[in-house]
Amino acid sequence: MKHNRLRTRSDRTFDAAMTGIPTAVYVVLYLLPCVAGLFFSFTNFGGYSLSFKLIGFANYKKMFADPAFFKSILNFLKLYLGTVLICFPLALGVAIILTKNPSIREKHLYRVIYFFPSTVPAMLIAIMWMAMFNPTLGVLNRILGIFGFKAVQWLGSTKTVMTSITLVVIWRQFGFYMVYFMAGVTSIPTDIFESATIDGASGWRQVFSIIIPLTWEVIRTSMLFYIQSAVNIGFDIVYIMTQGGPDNASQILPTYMYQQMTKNLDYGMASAIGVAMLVVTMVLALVVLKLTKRETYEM
Amino acid sequence: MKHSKLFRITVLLLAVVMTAGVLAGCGGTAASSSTAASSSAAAASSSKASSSSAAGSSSAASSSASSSDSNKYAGRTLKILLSVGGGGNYYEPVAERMMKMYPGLTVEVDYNKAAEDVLRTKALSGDAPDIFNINTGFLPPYDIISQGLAQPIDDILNETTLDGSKKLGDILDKNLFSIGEVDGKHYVMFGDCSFLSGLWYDSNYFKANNLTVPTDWTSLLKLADECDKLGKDVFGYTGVMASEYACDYWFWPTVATTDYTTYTAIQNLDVNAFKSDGMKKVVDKMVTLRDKGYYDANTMGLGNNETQMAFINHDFALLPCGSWLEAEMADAWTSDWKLSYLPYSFGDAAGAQQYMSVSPLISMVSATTKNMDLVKEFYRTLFSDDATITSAVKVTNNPMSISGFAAKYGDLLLPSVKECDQSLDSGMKALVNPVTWWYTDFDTELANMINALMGGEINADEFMQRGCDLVTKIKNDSTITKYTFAG
Repeated sequence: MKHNRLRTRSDRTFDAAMTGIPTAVYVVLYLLPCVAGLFFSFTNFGGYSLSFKLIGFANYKKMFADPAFFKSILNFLKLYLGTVLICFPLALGVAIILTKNPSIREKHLYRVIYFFPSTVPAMLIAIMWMAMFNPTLGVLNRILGIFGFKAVQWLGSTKTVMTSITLVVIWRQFGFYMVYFMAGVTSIPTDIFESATIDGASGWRQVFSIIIPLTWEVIRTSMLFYIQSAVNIGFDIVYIMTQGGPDNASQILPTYMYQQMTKNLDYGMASAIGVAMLVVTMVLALVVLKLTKRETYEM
Repeated sequence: MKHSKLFRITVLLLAVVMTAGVLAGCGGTAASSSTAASSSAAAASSSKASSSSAAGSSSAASSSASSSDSNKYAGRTLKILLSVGGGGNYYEPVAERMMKMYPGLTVEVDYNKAAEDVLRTKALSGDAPDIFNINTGFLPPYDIISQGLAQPIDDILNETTLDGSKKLGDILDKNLFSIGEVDGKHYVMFGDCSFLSGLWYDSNYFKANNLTVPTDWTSLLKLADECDKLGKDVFGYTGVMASEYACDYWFWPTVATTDYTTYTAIQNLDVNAFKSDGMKKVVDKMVTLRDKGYYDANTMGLGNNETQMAFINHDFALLPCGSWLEAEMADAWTSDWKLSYLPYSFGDAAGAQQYMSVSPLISMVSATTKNMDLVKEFYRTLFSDDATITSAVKVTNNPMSISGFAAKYGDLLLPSVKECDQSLDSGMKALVNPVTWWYTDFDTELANMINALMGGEINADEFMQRGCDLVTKIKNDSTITKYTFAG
């Protein structure tokens, strides 16, 4: 009996340590900074001195009075929707082609090639695409010129800059989600496809009636995961390529927040924008969850 | 059971090591570097919060000082934080010189591309460096002053030069000290490196193609026509960094030259300044360049390095830029190039007062320093020791704002910088554009306005209205301290 009591205590200690350490790290490195950010959003904290004071909702009033704030939300949503509506169907389509088409022998090579951009640091990608977007020397305008089209101000025009940024993000993220969807498609038992084929279902019918429903949770999770990716990758790409310009046409919430923090030394305002960003991403996540809710199937 | 216990201990140790690894990644400083970097590189690198090994420090130099006072600072340390920008580590010669003059003294210069992050953590932990010199684009000085991080430097200005003949305040350019003055006290030290600016061109290209060197608006339009016939534009600027290049090196000098009263009114937040006749003339000039196709719209989406490459490629004739241009693009100039400075800032008539923006690197003294005597010694050495000045200028390739600099040290400068510096001696006046120092939102929105106008998104009336709205917004914001520009 004494032996059993010692064992139970040891078990409890181990369980406590295994849950306690990550919880402590999460609280210290994630929760506490979030709470601190919320607190600082009600202050005039400048970032360099602890002598600040509470100013109530002044930062929020200033934020809502700034047209750049609403522009940055709109641009962030454009970036998110543009990627989800273009990148995800493309990634899923290529995943299906590579997985279900036995005649493609080099699928592993294609997987590596498509996945490679997502391993390259965003800064390098931004610099590379800046060269490609160069209006006089860039390869894109050279190709357009060959076909007789007029050169485009990819990053210099308010009309095209957000499209250009979205294109870069799609190019970078496509491979990652393609591999992710490939894993989802591969997990579908092959006998379902054999039964469908026997029943006369065409390839397209199988895609819409079998593959998409059975990988829907994977797609849904990707859409949620991408909200966070859009914040991180979007910041890197926009900050290096355009710094939010011209005239805030490519400003997104993370870069707008960073501008307040570094150029204006207004950590209070930046924290308020951070809170707004949290609300926007939460609302977006809830909308995505609501719109993508459907019956799940057991395989 | 024994196997299970060993497994649990291993897993626990792994969890502790991983946690320690996560926490060890916090803080730290970027590796120091002695190479000069462009402002866009500094902007790009500062966007990353990650950092690596600790900064380097200057090594102690051996000395054979004969003065009995030479050991008075033995065992003490002066800490300086310097950011990467166009300047390079020009404090290193000062540190070496001081350590040679005072054996036993350690002068640590942390030359760091993430200096503003380093200062933040050190200031919040009560360990701020004695002196900090950080790019004002990342560390607005008035915000630092209002947060109580800096102390007045008026006592330093009363210190004598090393030879005892003059006071430091007498040899430094007094005009620059209008910035950083709060309640009658000066908080910002100027003078150690002043980047001049304005319009640059290739004089060899101009000669080879018989292009007019403009001295007034009429001749500028003539040059624009000549460039147009060559299939080139007359003017371009980096749209991505318009808040610096377009605003400071083109817009403000144009406003000051066209109508100095309008320039002064804007600095003093006169709500109607942007709708004045002077501003209408300025905007008309900008719109003329745009509508006649004289402005290289391709530069709107380019960073400063790409724009400078387009300039070297002769895509356009005149580039607004700083005096670091020749050094920064050292590997890119071709043998047919002769970079020259144009002492003209878009004025109407020949002989009108021309202006250039001067962007000084500034340093501030920590409010918590316990080494004020060492700080004073540092500045005495920096501003009045011949060997130090020579070494520092060889690093920065730009002038120091001390009297007699051009005559004594002008030959140390690169040809284009010397030409630019001489323009100040021959009648051009320096602008510091205090409104951009006092109200940090100003040049961001002004850059947006300039880009929108030159990109054809807005017309002249909309530009002027946005200017009025910007001034009104700042004026009505009670949380922003207002200052007065004496002119």
